[in-house]
Amino acid sequence: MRRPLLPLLGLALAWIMLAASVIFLLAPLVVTVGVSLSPSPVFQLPQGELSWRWYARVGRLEGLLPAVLLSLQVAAFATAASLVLGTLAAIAVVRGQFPGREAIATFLVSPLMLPGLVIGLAMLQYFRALGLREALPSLLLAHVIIVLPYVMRTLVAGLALFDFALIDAARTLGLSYPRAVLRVMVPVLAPSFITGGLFGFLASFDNYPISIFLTDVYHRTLPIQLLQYLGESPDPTIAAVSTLIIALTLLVLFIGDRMVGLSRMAGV
Amino acid sequence: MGAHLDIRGVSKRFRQSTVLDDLSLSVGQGEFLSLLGPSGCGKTTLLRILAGLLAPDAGRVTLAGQDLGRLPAHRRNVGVVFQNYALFPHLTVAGNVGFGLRARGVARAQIEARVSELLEMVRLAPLAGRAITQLSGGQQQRVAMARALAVNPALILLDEPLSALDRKLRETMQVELRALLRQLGMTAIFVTHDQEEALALSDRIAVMNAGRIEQLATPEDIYSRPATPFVLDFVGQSTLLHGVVVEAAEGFLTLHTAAGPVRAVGHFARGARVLAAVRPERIAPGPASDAAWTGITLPLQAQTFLGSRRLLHGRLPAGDRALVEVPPETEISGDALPIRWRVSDTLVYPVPEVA
Ligand SMILES: Nc1ncnc2c1ncn2[C@@H]1O[C@H](COP(=O)(O)OP(=O)(O)OP(=O)(O)O)[C@@H](O)[C@H]1O
Ligand SMILES: [Mg+2]
Repeated sequence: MRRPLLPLLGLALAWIMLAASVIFLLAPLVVTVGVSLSPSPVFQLPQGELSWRWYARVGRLEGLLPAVLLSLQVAAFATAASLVLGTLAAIAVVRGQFPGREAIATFLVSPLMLPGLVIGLAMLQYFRALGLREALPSLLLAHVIIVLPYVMRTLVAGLALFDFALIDAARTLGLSYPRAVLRVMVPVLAPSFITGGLFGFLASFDNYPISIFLTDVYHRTLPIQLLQYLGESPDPTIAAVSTLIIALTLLVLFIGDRMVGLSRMAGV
Repeated sequence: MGAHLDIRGVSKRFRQSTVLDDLSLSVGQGEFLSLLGPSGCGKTTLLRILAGLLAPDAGRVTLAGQDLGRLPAHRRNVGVVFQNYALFPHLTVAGNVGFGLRARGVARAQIEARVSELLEMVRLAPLAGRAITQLSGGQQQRVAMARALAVNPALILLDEPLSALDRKLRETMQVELRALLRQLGMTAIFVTHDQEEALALSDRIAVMNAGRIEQLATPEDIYSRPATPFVLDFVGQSTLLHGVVVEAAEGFLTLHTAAGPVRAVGHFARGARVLAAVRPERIAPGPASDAAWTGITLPLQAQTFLGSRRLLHGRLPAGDRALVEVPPETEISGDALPIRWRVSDTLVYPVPEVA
């Protein structure tokens, strides 16, 4: 029996496209990791010998540690604040009976659809108009705006499917209202919390276009600091830092997979 | 049977609409009481008030002598089986059944023992470790029952627990559920809008309409002695004849109807407008032979064959209808049929005068 040619061709094409996309997405990462392990002082893939020398220099990079700490701090604060605010806002949007709910939901998610430059510039002018000139509070506020849409999007989707009768059931089984929310709603919606929180955290951690408007010499977030190194002394130390960030991201995704499952995380 | 649960003058309004209207009801210890009524009549609202999930605007509820008024839901010890079961999707079958015990801080070993006892009772023991999403509808229903019963509640409320199941399974589950509750001596309020289910299961039925109880009685009385035209119409089928009282003496009435004179038992003034009704299985073909019987000659319109019986429909003026049940093999010829029933089987209701 001859198999029809057309479906086979289609299948082959699909596989080629898939392979091409994977290569296209992964190649820069592979190159970065490779460069970081090469002994050569210019950006070059390792030829034979591998070396850790750039990693040894990471610790001596001036201003790196404060930048990492600041970025982690800002991302953690923004994520925590967004989880609380986003949950409350999502409950209001999903359960509320007031007019304009849809509009509010769209508005809270809209920063995802606007260019970061526009938001950054707008924030800068707005904060100045309010008389807020301090870098740190400006950064924290702006990053809440960055993270909130991720949390809102996943939580609105999660809550729309959440059966609030579950809370009633837990109450009739002996839990007070707050305990019922904690013991039922939080675990049932855990995938939404974790997914929204993780993606939001990463979005804040590597944000450049908004942060650039709000930082000063004393408060540089990691992406801004890295770009400065590239300008000043472009050696593979940057590649080593990037490789560490890639490792951190993989770790976060691994934890997420363990807790929620990658397919569920990607699905939201 | 003393009153185990006592509901006094409970009212509830949502914005303009009155959902429960000064409703009172007593349920005895171990009694199985059905709330039967059309969609939107307030059945679920009443259950939510009893469970403490909703506060009434007025009225009092006492359970086993204790005023529930100020007790929040989690301190009432009232079990609820929700309409869609509301099982916890993040827990296993055993996790769901043990939820109430864990909430009460019962020791681990005791929880395990009680959970297996209940799973045994609802025949789900082999599925203890299953995820909720891997259960069939009937199995989910049994988990919901076991979960509500695990904490040994003083009262169990069931909100249309079988309505999501298909007909065959529903009938099996009815029998099972009734036997389980009887075995435990559990006081139960069972909400349904399926009259057959209510008739089959209940010790007593409360027929609800628009936030009030129209009649509270045994299934037999609800069916054969409906207190109002609403109950008559909601439970079972009947022949309906509008008429006027033309003779009233010593508790016997003669009514003038479009189908001819009809006799009944009751106390009405002459000239009163009434509605006469007869249940189909009370009617037999044949002329009224003596004073104990009454009857009409029914112009036949159609007949439906239902397997175990045959239904005859009469041609009557708008608002009236006639329904006669005969054995399936009955040969009906001609286009009019004399029918009769006992005078005491004529149900008579006053018809409000239309202004
Ligand atoms: N939270 C609420 N806010 C406003 N109206 C409500 C609320 N809950 C119920 N109602 C209204 O109260 C009425 C009674 O509702 P309820 O759920 O008690 O009916 P039911 O008898 O259980 O009906 P069904 O058989 O359809 O379940 C309905 O008209 C409903 O729209
Ligand atoms: Mg209901």
